[in-house]
Amino acid sequence: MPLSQNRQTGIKVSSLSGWLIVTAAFLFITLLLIVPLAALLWRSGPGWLSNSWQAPAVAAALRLSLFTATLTTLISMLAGTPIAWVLARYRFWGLGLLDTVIDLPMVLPPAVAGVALLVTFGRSGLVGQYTAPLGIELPFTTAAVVIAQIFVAAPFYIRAAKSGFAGVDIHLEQISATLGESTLGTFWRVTLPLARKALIGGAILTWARSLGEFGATILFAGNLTGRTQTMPLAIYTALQSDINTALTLASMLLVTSLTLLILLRAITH
Amino acid sequence: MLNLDLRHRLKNFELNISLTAEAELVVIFGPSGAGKSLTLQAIAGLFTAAQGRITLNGQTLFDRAKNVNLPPQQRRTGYVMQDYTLFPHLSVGHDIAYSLRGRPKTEIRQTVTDMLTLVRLPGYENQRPNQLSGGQKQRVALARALVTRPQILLLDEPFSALDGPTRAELRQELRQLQAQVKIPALMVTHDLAEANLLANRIAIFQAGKLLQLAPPAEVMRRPANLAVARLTNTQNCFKGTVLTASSQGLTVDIGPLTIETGPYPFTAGQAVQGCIRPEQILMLRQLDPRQPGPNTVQGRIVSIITDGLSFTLRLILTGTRLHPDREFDLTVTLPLHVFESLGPQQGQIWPISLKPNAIHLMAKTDQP
Repeated sequence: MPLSQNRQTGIKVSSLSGWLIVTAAFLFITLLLIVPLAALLWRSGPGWLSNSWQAPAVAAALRLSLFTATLTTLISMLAGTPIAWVLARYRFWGLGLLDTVIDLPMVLPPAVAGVALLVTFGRSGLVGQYTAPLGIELPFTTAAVVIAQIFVAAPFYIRAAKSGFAGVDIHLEQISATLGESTLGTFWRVTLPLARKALIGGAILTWARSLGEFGATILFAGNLTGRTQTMPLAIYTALQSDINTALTLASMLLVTSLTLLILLRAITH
Repeated sequence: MLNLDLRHRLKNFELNISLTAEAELVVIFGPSGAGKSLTLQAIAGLFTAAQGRITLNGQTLFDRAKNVNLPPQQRRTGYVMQDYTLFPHLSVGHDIAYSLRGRPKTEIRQTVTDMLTLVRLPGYENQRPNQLSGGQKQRVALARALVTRPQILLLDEPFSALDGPTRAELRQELRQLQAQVKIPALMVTHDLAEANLLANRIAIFQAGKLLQLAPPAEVMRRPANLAVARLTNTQNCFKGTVLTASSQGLTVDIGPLTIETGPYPFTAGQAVQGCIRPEQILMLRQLDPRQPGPNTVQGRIVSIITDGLSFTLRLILTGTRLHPDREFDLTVTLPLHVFESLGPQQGQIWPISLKPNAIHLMAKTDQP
């Protein structure tokens, strides 16, 4: 048998041209992904964790990043779950439009998001001009960091949750109703458990995206140590004076991202 | 007792159904897109019709005029669907106990044990759905529906995804269960044999209309109209005009010949349609020329096909054709033993008899 099925539905590579394509793919990925990441770890040296770990800016950035990314993820889940459910289960006028608008931040350059948020919530912005006299000023606060992250990262959760909900057989929800369960009860006892993996996967993606948020944050929230300077901003700042700190921060983010990715695969496969 | 009256405009047809069902098994039979499943969904509250009324044991489930529309969770219907709709994340025991949330643990355990015994799956509490066969899944689905002590059973093609022997077994069990629980049961199928095997009455649906609601024998022997005759596989249909009518029977001109039939409430001159089941046509060994008998014609066999148990012969009449625009005039189905003892062959000319009592007459409708 020249072809044999592997555990997925692929076909075993057996021809010369097949091997050439696989080799080319490996070379490409090695050069553009693996080499730079390896270089990063190599340059930061074996002691990268202890190195400049104590610098107060580093610890503050790490704390802020973990706090804001987690808060962003929680808010995205709270607000995004009902939205995703509506998108997956209901047909109404404007559904396609809403669906597209929600995806927009995923393709929008984060810098654009930052400027847009600034002209909305800034001191003289569309909304900000009314809230500023009340003492509510968002720009350059930790809240602004979270808003920027939600803008950019929430769609990842909503998208994943929507496809998770859509993947739950509607017949199961109907059967649950005929068995006497209320709509909310059906959601808790049937829909949510069956979409669980998708929801967790989406939350991980949102958390990871929040952790890496740079463009929208620096424009809307600024770069204030301890208040708005998250890890990516700290890397950017450190790179201008102290490359070792930048390398340490970058390595930490890389390891975190890798861990998340492995976690994601473990959950969704 | 179920009383149902539904009207709803759909893309391809208008649903317009009225029916009542006692504590009996009514099988809804008809082609795809006839509104069969939609009717079940309307009873369960999963589909809301534009107009109509549904009452069950005196309780109004739905009444457009009075603005009553109970949600599915308040209707107490036991629904079983075609694709095995067990909850993938629950064990068999938890699945069956789904509607018992909040009851004492011992009661739940006892009910689950009882239900599993009832559907002949004792000891399956801890199995997962993916460990069960198709037939076992449908048994669990049935048990889960019965736990709620439903007022009606709604079965939407529950056996159509099962293999032959399993299907036969589950049909048998369903009959027994239905007799035990003494509630109305509506079951959708597009398997005519299944309808005949299970039904106390068959409801024939087509394009949103209820064409006939009657016991299986009557639907098969006396279809209400040509559409029912076609759906129930009565293949020999014809148009004619009544020549004479009396309490003894009618004579009808059907073009190439004049046939005698049993008594029907039609008068001379009236246009009628008729049919005779292919199983009820007799092939005669020989024709007595002095006493040909009623409704005797000669036909040449143009084809013989078999499903292994019975033989289906197509014939064209030797005199004037009955259906000149078709390839054959009559279809005759013979059981194996008759076929073997007669030994008809393609091309042969055989005398055949259309027994007057086997011919069914219907009022002429506009349907083609």
